Amino acid sequence: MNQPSVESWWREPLLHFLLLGSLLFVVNAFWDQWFPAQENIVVNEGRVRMLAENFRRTWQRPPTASELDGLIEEQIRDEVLTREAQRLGLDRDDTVIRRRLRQKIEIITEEAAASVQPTDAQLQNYLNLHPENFRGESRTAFTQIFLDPSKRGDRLDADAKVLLDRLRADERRPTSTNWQKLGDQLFMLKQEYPLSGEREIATIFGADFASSLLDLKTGEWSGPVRSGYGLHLVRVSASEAAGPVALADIRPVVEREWRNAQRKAGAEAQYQQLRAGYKIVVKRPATATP
Amino acid sequence: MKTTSSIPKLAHTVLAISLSTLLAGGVTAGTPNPENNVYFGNVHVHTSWSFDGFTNGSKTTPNDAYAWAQGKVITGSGGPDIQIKTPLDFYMVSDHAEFMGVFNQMANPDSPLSKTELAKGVTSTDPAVRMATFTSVLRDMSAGKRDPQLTNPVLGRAVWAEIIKAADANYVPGKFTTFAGFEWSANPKQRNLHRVVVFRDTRHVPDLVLSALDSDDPETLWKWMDEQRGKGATLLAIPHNGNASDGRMFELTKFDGSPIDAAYNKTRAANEPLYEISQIKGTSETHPVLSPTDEFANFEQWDYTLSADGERPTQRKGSFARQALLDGMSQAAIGAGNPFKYGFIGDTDTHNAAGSNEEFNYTGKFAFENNARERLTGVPGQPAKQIQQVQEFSSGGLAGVWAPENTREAIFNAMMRKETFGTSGPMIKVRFFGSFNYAKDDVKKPDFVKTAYAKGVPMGGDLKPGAGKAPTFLVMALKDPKSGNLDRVQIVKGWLDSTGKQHEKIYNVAWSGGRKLDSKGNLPSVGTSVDLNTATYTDKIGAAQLATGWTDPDFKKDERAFYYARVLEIPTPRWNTYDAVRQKMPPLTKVPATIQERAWSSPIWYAPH
Repeated sequence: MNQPSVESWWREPLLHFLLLGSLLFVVNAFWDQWFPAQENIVVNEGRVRMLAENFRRTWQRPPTASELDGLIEEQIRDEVLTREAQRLGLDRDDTVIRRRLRQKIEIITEEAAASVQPTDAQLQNYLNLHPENFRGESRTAFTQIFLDPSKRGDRLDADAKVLLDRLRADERRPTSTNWQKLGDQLFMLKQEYPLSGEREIATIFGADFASSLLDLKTGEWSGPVRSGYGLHLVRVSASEAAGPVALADIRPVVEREWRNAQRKAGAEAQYQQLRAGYKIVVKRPATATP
Repeated sequence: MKTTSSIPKLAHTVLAISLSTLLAGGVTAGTPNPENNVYFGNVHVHTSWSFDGFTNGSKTTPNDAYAWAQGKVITGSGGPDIQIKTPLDFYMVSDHAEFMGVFNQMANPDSPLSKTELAKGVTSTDPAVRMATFTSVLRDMSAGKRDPQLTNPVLGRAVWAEIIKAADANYVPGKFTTFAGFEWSANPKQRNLHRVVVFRDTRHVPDLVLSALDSDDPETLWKWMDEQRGKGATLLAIPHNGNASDGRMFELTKFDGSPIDAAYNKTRAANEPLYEISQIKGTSETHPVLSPTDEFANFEQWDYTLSADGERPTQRKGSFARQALLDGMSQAAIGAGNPFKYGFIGDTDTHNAAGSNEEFNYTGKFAFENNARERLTGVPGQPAKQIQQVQEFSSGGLAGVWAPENTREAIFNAMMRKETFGTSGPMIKVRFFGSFNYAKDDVKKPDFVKTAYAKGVPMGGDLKPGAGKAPTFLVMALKDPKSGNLDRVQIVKGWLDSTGKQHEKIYNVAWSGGRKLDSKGNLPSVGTSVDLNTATYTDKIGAAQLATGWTDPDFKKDERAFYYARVLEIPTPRWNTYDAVRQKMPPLTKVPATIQERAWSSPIWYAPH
């Protein structure tokens, strides 16, 4: 048998294959060290337009060339540092980022749920189901005479009684005293109030005073009723109990509440649907010692 | 109960007025009142939509904020539900402009959230289908589609657009006013230069608001505001918390350190009619170092910068309103115009939707404070300095506005003309007028308000030349029926003498009970009725109302001056005392147990002509 010549050994294709393969293996193994991988950061035309547009909206003029360069540089810096931070996992357990992400998705969901135009029937139905949210307020019209504690001191209660008796007696006479001149002045407030809601009255005289009015008889002087200012003798001239309200009178309010309810219900439904897409495993620690 | 009259034995006295002719204090018919009604509210309110609102645990939205102001129960973000006792008349959510922009990418028409996709997702009448569609849209949101091509801003889902929407949805002209606005939050080196910006209407508002990330220089804000005016907007800015600025809020230099000049002064005054004198982060009327003779100067001083480690400011000048009023007059005196011609409001700066102005109903600044125990002694693990800062937080303040009706235009215009006052929280009502033509007795007349407007100017105005040798001021104050009685009314005067030197003096002009002024004009303390063990007080001291006419005994016609009224309540429990009693916890030792709530009118200015 002839021995293969050296030359023919060199020409062996399998050897070529193995050598090239080994070389590729070595190059591949060291490639990342010799030539570090480069990611692309592309600031495209759309992004540049957006940067310029944001600037224009803030400053009411387009950016100059150097300002635009600065905006682009800033954009690149933002991208580089953000990617590096993400690579290091700095976003992962960050409460702020998680909350922001959660907030964004909740806003989108809620807005989507609330963007439907309701019909009258839907609103009427909502009103029927939640009458407590739309109950009309009781309203009272009244006259008050003020007794100032810091003027009357210990005589306050006695004075109130005397004055009340006098007012009641006067009402039985054909010509009664001019009640406007009785009592003490109370700056910036009136003596006579037209039909006013309980909340409005509470704002001026306090909540206790406002609710006390509901127990008074219409058309006669009563009291004294206490407020944050002192004592008042009060004559209720008219009152209206809180009654049901018609949709037509409060449609915008009902619509707002309905939308809010849609928003909440929609967001909850959305969450439940998303949650159903996960297999959830909770491993509780063994009951902790107290 | 004292049997003495609440009327001081001085000539300026409170007296019988035929009440029915005095203006209504709140229940108003539909017609504008030319003599103005008082309205209470806040324009400095954050929700979870502010970066620091949600990082501190708030779950509230602008809609929650408006609901709270109208008396509804809102979420306590984990703590107890929150509700105000006496609803407010106006309210504005002013979330920080900074980071609002994060949401702009939602306006991206390239994203799966495009108009058509969204429309498809939400127009179905079946909520289940709507949600299913939407779910798929959400699932499609992917990193690959995050290159915004902002060509169609119509789809603006920016937070700012939502804020405007919430303001409009809650505006009930005549009953409840809302505004669109934001906070520009510059804090160079943790020095507070914040401003709240208020828009008069929502028809002329920009697509985006200015953030301090662009620049910390207030002049850039004013320039931006001017550009908005060029596009039809009407707006104003209200600075706050000079106390946390370490001398920078009212400094006499521009942001770059060069001296302020006539152009700067004019621009500042045109953009900033009002200053927020009291809020949760303290009151910045004055400081004991600046006003050593003012026995009530040391009030709710939240004495910190905005740094996280409890750093204290060292500069008092440039940090407080009263000194700024003086410095402003000094600028005017050298012909540069007055940059600091500020009227006053009180406000809140809550970061949890609820202004929390009611001392007895305090729910804190941040959401985590809506837990009485934690706002008293801190969240576990919280640094001691931070706990102390939270204990020193004051309850929210209120803005009082005299306007003909409760509408955006009427309230905004009143703010522009400075017919406003601030309170540390209670709804104290204050009238304050000045004129050379008043008689002291005018305050007793049945048509007092009509006369006052006809012959003089209200708070926020400039004295008009007149017949008198010295100006007379008419002041009238009525307590908040759910807060303490009134202790006294003072007039704070600041003036420049013939050499230009600055002076200030405080005059006690009306007070409760039979107390007498000493030879120096000082008034004995009203005392206290607070029972610290039960967190209660009585109406045995103080008066429900005080009023007087006062003529300046030290007036010189060649001296520039300002005058404002300060109304003090009797002491009542501070929020920490209510909390400690309710929680059965020991009282706090490093903050006062009681507070003398108060109101400050906008000043009235005098300049020789």
